[in-house]
Amino acid sequence: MAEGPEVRELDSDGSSEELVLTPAQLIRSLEQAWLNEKFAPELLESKSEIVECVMEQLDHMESNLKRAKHGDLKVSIHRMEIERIRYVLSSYLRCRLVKIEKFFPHILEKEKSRAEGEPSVLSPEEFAFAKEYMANTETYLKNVALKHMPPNLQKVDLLRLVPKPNLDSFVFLRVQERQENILVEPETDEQREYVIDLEEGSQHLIRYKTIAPLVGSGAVQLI
Amino acid sequence: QDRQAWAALQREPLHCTARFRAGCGRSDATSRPSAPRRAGPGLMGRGVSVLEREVCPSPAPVREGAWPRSAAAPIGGAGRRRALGTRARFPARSALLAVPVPPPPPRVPMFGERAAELVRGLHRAADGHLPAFNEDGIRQVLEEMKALYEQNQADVNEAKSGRSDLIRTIKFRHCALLRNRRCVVAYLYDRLLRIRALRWEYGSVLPSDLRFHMSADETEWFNQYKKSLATYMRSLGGEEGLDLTQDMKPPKSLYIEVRCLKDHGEFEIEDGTTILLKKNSQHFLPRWKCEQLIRQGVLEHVLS
Repeated sequence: MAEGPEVRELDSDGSSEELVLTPAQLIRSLEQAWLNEKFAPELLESKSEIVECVMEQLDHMESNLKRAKHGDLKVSIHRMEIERIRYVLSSYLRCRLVKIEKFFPHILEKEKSRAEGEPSVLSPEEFAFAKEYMANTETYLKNVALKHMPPNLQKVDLLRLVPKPNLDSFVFLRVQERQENILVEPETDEQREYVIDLEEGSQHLIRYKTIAPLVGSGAVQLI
Repeated sequence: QDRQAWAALQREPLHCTARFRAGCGRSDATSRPSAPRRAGPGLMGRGVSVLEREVCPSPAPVREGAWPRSAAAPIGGAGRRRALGTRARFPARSALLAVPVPPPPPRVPMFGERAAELVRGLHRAADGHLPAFNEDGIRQVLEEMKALYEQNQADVNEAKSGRSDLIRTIKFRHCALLRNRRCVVAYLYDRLLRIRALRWEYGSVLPSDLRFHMSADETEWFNQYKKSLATYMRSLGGEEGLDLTQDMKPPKSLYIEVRCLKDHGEFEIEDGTTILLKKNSQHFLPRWKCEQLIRQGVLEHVLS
């Protein structure tokens, strides 16, 4: 595994409660965030602390390798490690970018109406990217088509035109912490809503909407 | 079509002209040769167009008295009457092959039809490929929208002064306007998504044939998108940030075997050695160095 000092992670609301993670735990939490992001239909909370810490780790490992003896077997193994971690990180960030571009009006609307103190789904850089993307697309549509159209049709409501993320899609999950009394909506008219308990370690196929908050809190892991 | 008509003509035995000669000036059946008499009273004197011959090719559907011997020679026979225009419409056999069928008058498209054709044309382009920008199509749809809107405005003024039966027409035109706008916006937005995919596949510099398919506004959008993306990637930490367009696939091995597809000159790898990339040379190189060149088409991954 990577050599390096223990990594400190700040709590998301900026308080100085520091969580000390070993590099192994950091990579594990990156992988969990990556899998969750891949399988969730909507954009999840931004884990920019993990991203920053992983980037630091990668830089650290690269500088270690530069100093190492050339031709040493450990060098190639560590290099593979760096590549794998870099792939997971890139894939995670790419997945987020794809979702931002796909649902940009809804995400920006949610960000606008976010209450103070609630964690954001976008990092500051992602927010800037999303705003630029929206402005770019709107300007393009306006200049090419909309301004040549009759006056009462020139405003286009992107919130209605761009499809929303499908929160009713089904996802596979594994339970990390035992949950009780999850209310499940009925699928057919004969069923009624019922309550289930999620045992630790069990795996389920369920609508994303039902367990969305649990994904955010880390109680379940999407697979 | 002409060939079929000619073949049908060939099938007709000489009795046709014989009948004609025989029938000239006389109306009794006895002087006819073997061919049976077939004349409908309604068709008497009317010609048979080439198209009708197609429809009922066998037996030879020549009506009695309908076939002129030649366009030039006037047909005698005081007893036969035929429509005045026939000679012009039914020229001599040899001239038949040169007759073009007049094209039907151009059909006025329905509202929204041009817009649907715009979208369909884009949908037909396979697999995310970007076809040329259909500037004419967009212009026609915008013109149609302008015409519809002006008609609606006129009708709204009339409806205000009492004519309430126009309201349905106004609503119909408004629906057509909304549909046209939806198709145009869908067309433009789908092209933007394809162009966005090009950035991730080809990198910052697009191949020139793709660049010609983009309009000036699309190129502007692409440049802005590139800039936004670059700013975001640079901000990701470290000095240069993280290039997200690399590492698109999970790494399987550290070094890969590559073959050079075109001359690229010298190429330096980490430990300082330079490699000369000549066409068709094969090298064993670190994977992360080659990824960019593989995507540009300079190197080719050899899977053996």
